[in-house]
Amino acid sequence: MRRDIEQFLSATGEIGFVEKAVSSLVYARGLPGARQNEVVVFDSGEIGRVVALHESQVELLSFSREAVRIGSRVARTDTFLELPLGGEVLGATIDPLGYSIDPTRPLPPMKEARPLDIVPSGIETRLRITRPARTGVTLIDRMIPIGKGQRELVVGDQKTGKSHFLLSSLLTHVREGGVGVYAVIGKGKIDTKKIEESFRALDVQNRIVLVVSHIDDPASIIYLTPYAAMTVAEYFRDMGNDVLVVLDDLSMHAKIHRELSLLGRRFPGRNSYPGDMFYTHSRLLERAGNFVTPKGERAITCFPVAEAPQGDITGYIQTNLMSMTDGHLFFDHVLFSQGRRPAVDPFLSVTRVGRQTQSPLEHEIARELVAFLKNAERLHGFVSFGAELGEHIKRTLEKESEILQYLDQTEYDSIPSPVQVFLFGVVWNDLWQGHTRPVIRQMIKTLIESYGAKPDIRRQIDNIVASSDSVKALGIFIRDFAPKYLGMK
Amino acid sequence: MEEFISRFLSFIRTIDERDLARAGIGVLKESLYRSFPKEFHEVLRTKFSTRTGDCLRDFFSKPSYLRNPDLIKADLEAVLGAIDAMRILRLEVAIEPSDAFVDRIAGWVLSNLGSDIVLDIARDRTVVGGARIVFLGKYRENTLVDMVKNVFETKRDVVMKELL
Repeated sequence: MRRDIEQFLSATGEIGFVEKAVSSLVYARGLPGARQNEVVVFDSGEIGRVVALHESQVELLSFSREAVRIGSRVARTDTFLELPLGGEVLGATIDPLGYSIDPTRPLPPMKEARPLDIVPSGIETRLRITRPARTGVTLIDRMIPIGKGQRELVVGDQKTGKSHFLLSSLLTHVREGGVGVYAVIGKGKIDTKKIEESFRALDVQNRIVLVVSHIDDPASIIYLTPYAAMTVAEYFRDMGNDVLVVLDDLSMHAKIHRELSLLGRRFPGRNSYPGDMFYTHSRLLERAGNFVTPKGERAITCFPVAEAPQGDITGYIQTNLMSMTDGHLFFDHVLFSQGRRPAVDPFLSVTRVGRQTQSPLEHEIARELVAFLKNAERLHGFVSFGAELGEHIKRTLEKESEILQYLDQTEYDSIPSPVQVFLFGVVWNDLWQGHTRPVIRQMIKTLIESYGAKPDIRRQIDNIVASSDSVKALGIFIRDFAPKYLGMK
Repeated sequence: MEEFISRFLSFIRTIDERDLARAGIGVLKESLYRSFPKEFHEVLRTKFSTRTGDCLRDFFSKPSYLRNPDLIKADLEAVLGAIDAMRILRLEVAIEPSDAFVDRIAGWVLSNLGSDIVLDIARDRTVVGGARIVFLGKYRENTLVDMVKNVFETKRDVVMKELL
């Protein structure tokens, strides 16, 4: 969308002339009344933003794909960057300035526009996180639970199943009536296509907004992407929805911020990142949370993603993000190569507020699972010495294998929470003892299908889970009912 | 010195003349150490306009400068600094500016705004009449196009009534 510079020149009565352009950064003389973050228009009709005010120059960030000509005119607009928003944006794929990336399907004019960058709302608008944000992934919902409004970092190497987990979480969130926002930050066009197709295949595209920038877009556009995604999330929160926003990924965003800062000759800090790196990301993530709105309690749950090359989670950006989020899920490439799906390391992953959303039963399940798997891991070290194994140890290792089957989600995108609890009861009470892997997979499949298709079974499972206040009580119900539901003799 | 600089700048009317003066002072500085003062006067004669050349010649013919090229160099640098600090008044007009036109505008600027202002006059046919004025980042459009547009916007009914 191009704007007419003449109109703004007359309206503001101010003009600037471009003196220097370095990548997306433009230096102009003039514009005496320019303000920080104000939108400017270039001669070409493309827009930019004021990023710094120097003694004799104004530093601008151009959002133009073409290089800005030296000597060309610049005009102030007396406005700040805003994203046009409305219900029509649901199901659309937009760029960070709010335009559809598909020129054949432009968006209609929107009724509302919201600023891209705002000061996060204060403590008086926030509530304690009390509602669980289900992801549909058993390992996470049972062992590293997440609450609605929580910011949970998703960190791991490339190709460790992060995207699959994010899709599964969005699917579960949308099925529960929420809205999803997926920010694709500086990735290839093929990645955007894949994500779009996945949403279409799961039939959730109409409840999700994709905010995308591609690797060949100007750095300034890539930089704006997570802010635009957060603005979309805030809009739908205020419309009365719980929103899940995925920022994929902030390592790329940090690199772009570094690129722009170095081009702007800002003083480099650790790994050449600028001094305001922490501030940039924390200010963004602070916009998520559990809020009190005129329409009641509504949450923006946020999953920022960070890459951890070679599984190294001690990098600058990774540790920064860990310290500003409410926990992290570590996707381990070693576990992935062992065939674990999801490849989340439950012992290196953290949730800081998710446990407070769990019922006493769920709390107990999480505790039992973590303690058991930790113990089993210790036994593996013992077994590797070649010691003769006692019956107790053998059984523990067998049970560990059964639990890993329970946690394995190669075939399913999303497992409903009551089914997860019910299946825990099955594995914890040794009902899978002696069964082979294919048989166990078949039992899980049967139960998930029955739960989805048969309302009476769903009601009964929901009742069993709701009336169990401890693992022991759950076990009593499970022994009576599970064989019937699982098709066991 | 200040008085001299002010007088010298008053002879620079446009950015072309400013660039010429700036380049001339550069050559003049180099000539100080090559058979001074012969080369110095030769540069003043060939690289400057009559008015700026005469102004410099008068000033640097004082006895104190005669055997002191370093002093001349220091003062030339002060002049160069003043030239670089000149403020630009940009005018976009529909006509090709004649010398008399430039003289008239420059005269008005000198007497009303000061000697440290240099004109950047550009031709733009779309202006039709009047001028677009840019000064220190401020923009004002006093053009015929703008006036006609305003009349059509604010007195549309009157215009339509006259036309019909």
